[in-house]
Amino acid sequence: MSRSQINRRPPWEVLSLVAQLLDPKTLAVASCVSKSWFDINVDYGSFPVAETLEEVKITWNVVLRGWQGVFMMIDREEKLNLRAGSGGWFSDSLPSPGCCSSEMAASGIVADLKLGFCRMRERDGKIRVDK
Amino acid sequence: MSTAATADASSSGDTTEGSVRLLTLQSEDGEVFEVKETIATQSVTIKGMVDDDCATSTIPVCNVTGRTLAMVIEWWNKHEIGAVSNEKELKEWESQFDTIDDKSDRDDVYDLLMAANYLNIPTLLDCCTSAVAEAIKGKSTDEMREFFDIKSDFDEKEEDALRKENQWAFEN
Repeated sequence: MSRSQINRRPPWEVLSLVAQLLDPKTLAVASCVSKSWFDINVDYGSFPVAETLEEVKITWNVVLRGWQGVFMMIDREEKLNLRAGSGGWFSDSLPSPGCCSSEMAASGIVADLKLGFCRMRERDGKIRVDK
Repeated sequence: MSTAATADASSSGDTTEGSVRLLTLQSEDGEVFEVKETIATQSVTIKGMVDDDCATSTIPVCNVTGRTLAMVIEWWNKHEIGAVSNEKELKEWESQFDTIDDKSDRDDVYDLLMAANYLNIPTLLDCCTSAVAEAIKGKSTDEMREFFDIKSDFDEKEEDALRKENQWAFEN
């Protein structure tokens, strides 16, 4: 096949997409493949073990100074372990600016957000977000 | 591939076949496909355009080649309600996409994965990400580089430092 796509493939996108399905060891090895295979830090010691996963909805809005504009970067649900010390990745494609431009509705740019939990309040089970 | 490709692109991509509205999609290499709206809207991206009334002209699918778009349309056709008689038949058909035995399979799955991500097709994205994750599971760094056709951009010192940092992952 003539593959015009190969040379401009951004490999980090693949890791970003499959990271949630990889075991910690494979992900750590993958993070050593090249420099762009971000900067992913794998902390084996703090990986959650067989805890209950819960549906977490996250919305990340970016507001321009003076409310000149509001962009939704991420709005999605993932199953996460809510144990203190755990966390998860959220990824979403950004739409291109202007729905009726000649471009496609998606921009080809992906917003990534890593959420980390630091502790759970025992009396009501609320989780504090660390980062 | 059993797709509804047409030779010429209409300036208006909003046509009908019977009572079914057709959308015209154009791949990055210029191939034009007419697809039923009810099928193409399996893409969340295209559904958004339809809902916003922005799909009345030819829709350029800029990051996807005609060959890959044909596979995407085949996926849509197979996942249309009533296209297959049961779930088992669908799973058997999907299995051609969820295993990677050689570089040709890898490239097809990789192209589909990027297209599914771009067009936001959750079912196809799940299938392809599972296939890639399964294929690289347990591979060494060098094997992953070979799998993805990636050249190492670390110098020896940098790679040693990174391996030390993740030493636990390289121990048997």
